[in-house]
Amino acid sequence: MRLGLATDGFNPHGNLSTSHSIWPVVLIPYNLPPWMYMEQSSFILSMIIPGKRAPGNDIDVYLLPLIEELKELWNMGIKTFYSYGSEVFDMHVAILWTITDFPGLGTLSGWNT
Amino acid sequence: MEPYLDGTHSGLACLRCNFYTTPKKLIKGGKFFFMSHRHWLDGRHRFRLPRMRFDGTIENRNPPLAISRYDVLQQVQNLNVEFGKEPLLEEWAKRQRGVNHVKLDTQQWRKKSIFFELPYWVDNLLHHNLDVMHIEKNLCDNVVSTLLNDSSNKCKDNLKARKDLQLWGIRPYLWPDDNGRYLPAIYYNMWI
Repeated sequence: MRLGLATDGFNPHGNLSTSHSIWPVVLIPYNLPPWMYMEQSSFILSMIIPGKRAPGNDIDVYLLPLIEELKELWNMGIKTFYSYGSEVFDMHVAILWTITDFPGLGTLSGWNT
Repeated sequence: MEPYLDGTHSGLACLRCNFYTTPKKLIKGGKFFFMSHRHWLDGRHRFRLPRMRFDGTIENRNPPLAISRYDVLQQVQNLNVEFGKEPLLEEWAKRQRGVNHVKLDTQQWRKKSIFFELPYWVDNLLHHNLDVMHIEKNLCDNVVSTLLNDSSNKCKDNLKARKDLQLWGIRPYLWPDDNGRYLPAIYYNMWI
């Protein structure tokens, strides 16, 4: 199973307040057919990082639990029921890539843009 | 890919180009720009030669090397980063408003990304994608405003741009006059 990771910051109050910045982290399952995986109902909202300002370089701290789980999913996999064949198999999960805007690229990759 | 950027701290903006790019700063415009597009061309391409049509130089460098994922890992693996606030820097920045982040800008990599914890990450060919639909809107605004010679600040064909051309000594037919007022029309402008 392949996942894409997308993140971007937004301000929940628009112009009313500049002291909030929320960074949702969304996982996209690429195993679905192309006309399905970009549907809102297919997205997996992994985490919401609230704060006064963007997490910036420190986003790794917030991503740590997700990465731990992903490591487990890659190394051991998880028992999954395959309903078409009525059997159980080990599903392994990998992150394929990240999707961000330019500042997001800087925070995720560590490259000082 | 050399992205269009409004604000870049160091000029080395693109992860893919890594250190193999030559950012230059506009003196009047105050922004970084990238004129090394021509070194991607084939070695004998005729666009490599004309000086005056580009930035006044002949391009004879080879195309930049593709940065491989192992190169990235090698560059970042010895970085030791402590996350969180840096109290000393914060204090210092408070006292000297406007000159903060000096310490961070001296290094190009700010951390070894946590994705390298994943055992397969280094073997992924493509690590980070840019959301083109998100970025393209601003780019499109700027291109359209420049073509239509819009009077808003979205039009990039302005006095500062023309003064920079003069400083670079290229395209004399586009320079502003001595008062810095008259802007000769550029051929791609569509006047309304």
